[in-house]
Amino acid sequence: MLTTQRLPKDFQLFITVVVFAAGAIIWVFGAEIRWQEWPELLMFMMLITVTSTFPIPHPRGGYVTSTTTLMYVLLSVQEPVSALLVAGCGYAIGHATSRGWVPWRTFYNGAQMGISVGLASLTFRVLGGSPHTPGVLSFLLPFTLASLVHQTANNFFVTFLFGRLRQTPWFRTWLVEFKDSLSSNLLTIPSAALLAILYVFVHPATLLLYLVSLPAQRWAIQLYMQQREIYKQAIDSLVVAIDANFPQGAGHSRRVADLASAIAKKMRLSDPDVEAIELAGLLHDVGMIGLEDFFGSSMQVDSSGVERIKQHPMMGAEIADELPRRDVSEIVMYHHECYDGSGYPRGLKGAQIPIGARIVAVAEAFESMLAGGLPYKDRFPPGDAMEVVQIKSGSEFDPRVVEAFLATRRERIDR
Amino acid sequence: MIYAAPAAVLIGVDSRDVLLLALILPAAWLRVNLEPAGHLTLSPAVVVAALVLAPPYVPVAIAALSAIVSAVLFAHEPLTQALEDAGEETIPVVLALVLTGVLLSSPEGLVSRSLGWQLLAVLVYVFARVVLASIKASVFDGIDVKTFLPTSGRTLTLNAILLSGIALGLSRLTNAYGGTGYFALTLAMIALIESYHPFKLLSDQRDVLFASLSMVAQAIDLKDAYTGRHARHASAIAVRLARSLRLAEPEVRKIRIAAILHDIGKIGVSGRIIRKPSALDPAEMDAMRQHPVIGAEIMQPVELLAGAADIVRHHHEHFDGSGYPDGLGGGQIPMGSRIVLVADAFNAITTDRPYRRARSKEEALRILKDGSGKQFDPVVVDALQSVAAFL
Repeated sequence: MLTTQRLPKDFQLFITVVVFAAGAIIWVFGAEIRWQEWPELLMFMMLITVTSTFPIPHPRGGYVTSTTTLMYVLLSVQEPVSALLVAGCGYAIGHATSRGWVPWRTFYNGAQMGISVGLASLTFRVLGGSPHTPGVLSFLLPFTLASLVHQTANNFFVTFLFGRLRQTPWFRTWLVEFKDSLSSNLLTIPSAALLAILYVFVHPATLLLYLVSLPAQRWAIQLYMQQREIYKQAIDSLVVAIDANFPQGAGHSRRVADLASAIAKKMRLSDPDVEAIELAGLLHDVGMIGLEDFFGSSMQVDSSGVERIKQHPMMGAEIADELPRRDVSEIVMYHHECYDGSGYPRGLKGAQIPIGARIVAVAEAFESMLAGGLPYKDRFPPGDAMEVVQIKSGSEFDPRVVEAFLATRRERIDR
Repeated sequence: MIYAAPAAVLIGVDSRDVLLLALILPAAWLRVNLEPAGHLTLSPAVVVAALVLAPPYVPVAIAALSAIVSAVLFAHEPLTQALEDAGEETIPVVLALVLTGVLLSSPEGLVSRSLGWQLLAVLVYVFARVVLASIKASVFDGIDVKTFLPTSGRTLTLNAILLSGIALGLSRLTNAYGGTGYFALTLAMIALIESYHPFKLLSDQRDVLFASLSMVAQAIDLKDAYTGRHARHASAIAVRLARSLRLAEPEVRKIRIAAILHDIGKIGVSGRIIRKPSALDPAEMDAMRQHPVIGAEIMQPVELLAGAADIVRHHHEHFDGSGYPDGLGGGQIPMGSRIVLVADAFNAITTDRPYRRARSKEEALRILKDGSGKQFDPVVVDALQSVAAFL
């Protein structure tokens, strides 16, 4: 745990400035706060405290706090300075209860959150937004822009301080952070806008109803993530059981899947694509089941065996078709196509071959060479195998995939 | 969709009714399949809003359309299924309109009626929906009402009450403040989708699991001259049998998994033995008889499949004790194994095999009847006879 004593001087200065700025704003504009609305202000503060104490896990990983929703409601229905005070205090208390009391961190987090919400609230006012006249231009647009201001400021305060502390480039982290939290923040806008309208037109206490729905959401997401793990485990162990029967031996499919998804990530494919490629990597040779009789001890295959082996991508694709994902069975179908059109079963070339199939082809060839599996009879040392892949770049393999493959290998060696 | 709004305005439909119609799309997209049967969508929210805000034909149209859109577009069901769903959604709306007396007498609908009448309409709607859903589950899936109501029935009721409550509340807001309510209703629909999304993910995940399990079964089938027999089908028969024998729902779930994966142990037996056309010698026979044991061993360590492992281990035991691997007989054999044996036999006889054509259901029933008491449990065979019409 960092303490103020161990912080460098300029950090102490920065933190002090932020905390004092927040305090000064409240001091100077304190008259603007509508103290007669103290029950509402207190309710906001309590809700923010509670929600920042219990974060909700996000299905895609990480956590989302429903604090953001409350901040958006707050910035639209209260004065900027009230929003600063309430958001700052509530967030500081919630932060201290959930992550421990470290004075500088607690004060800094409270102050930065307060200033971010205050700034956003000011933006909302300046743009002419009001929840009393709900419409797209008079409410939704200023509301959305204000939320972006809040996110920008909040991300800045967090990434700047911690980026400097850990000596990482804070500006790039800031941009990445902004991009990552953008979609989830935009998604909270409709519910926040609805709550703001209900707050104004019905009763401020409608916010409490929202609080009631949080445990249910939390429960559903946790259940989903737990189930997803259980399902994954079930499917994985079945595939591993099948894998033991493949001519290449146990673990081959898993290794191909891992390498293929690493290449896909390197090529910056989208998450669903990477997922499909990993799955297809696991299943690429599922059509080989039942062919083990063709491989005697000598790995000699007669011509009818060759015919049958050439059918394995089609057989595999038919099986993978049971899954509700078209893209997976297509990768299985075309993972023996070559970039120059000399492959099977269709003889597709270049971009006609799905990108996932081009990736799995490289991953499978490399892993087969390492393991001495089909069609290679001897084990290759990794260096030689990489060279073979490089030589076949442009003929058998897509050059861009080979490049990404080499990059992932180099990273592994560096580590 | 883009031209729908201006077109509707031209023919004189209120643009606000068009908004309600447009909300069908997100409402129908959020489709959560329930266990053991049925599904829920967000349509009650739109239907109830239309019921209290628009002329009577609007909620009826919305109910029918949302069911069709959801079934055809988002669940890829055949059109007959979609029409069936549409009936299930529309009848409660019509009933609510009839019982509150606004269907024919007042063209503007429930807008002008008091909160009491509106509440009555909502109650009738919710009640009728749940009743229809239970009837459907009992007729088409063989799930009796006592099983349905505490599970899917409860979820459906809660969902309908919650969504109706929200829609009714926002509609009152609309009556009081005009456009604000419609604005809020649209926002509410998006917010609802966000909060229901985890449940949709959960239900989609379950579908993917069963798809993956039948894919594994299909892969195993490759070792057996690729009979093209569908494990999914055998599983549906087994589930139907289990329900007609009034087994508890958790047991039915195990049987469903066991019926899909019952032959997974063949992965550990050489393909040469499985495909051998002539009689097996004793050593080969021993190897073949290991497959239920291997299957159970594969499933045992996996949390989700462990419960079904025992059923798989005993799915080749015969009722008279002549089966393998343990030679159990009668009541010693787990009920699930007896069901899987019958379901698999029926499925095998009624589908095409490489060496012979499929035989008729009647013939299959006769063959099973002959084996009743020897290979098969008479109780299960009788159950098969009683549900054969649905298979």
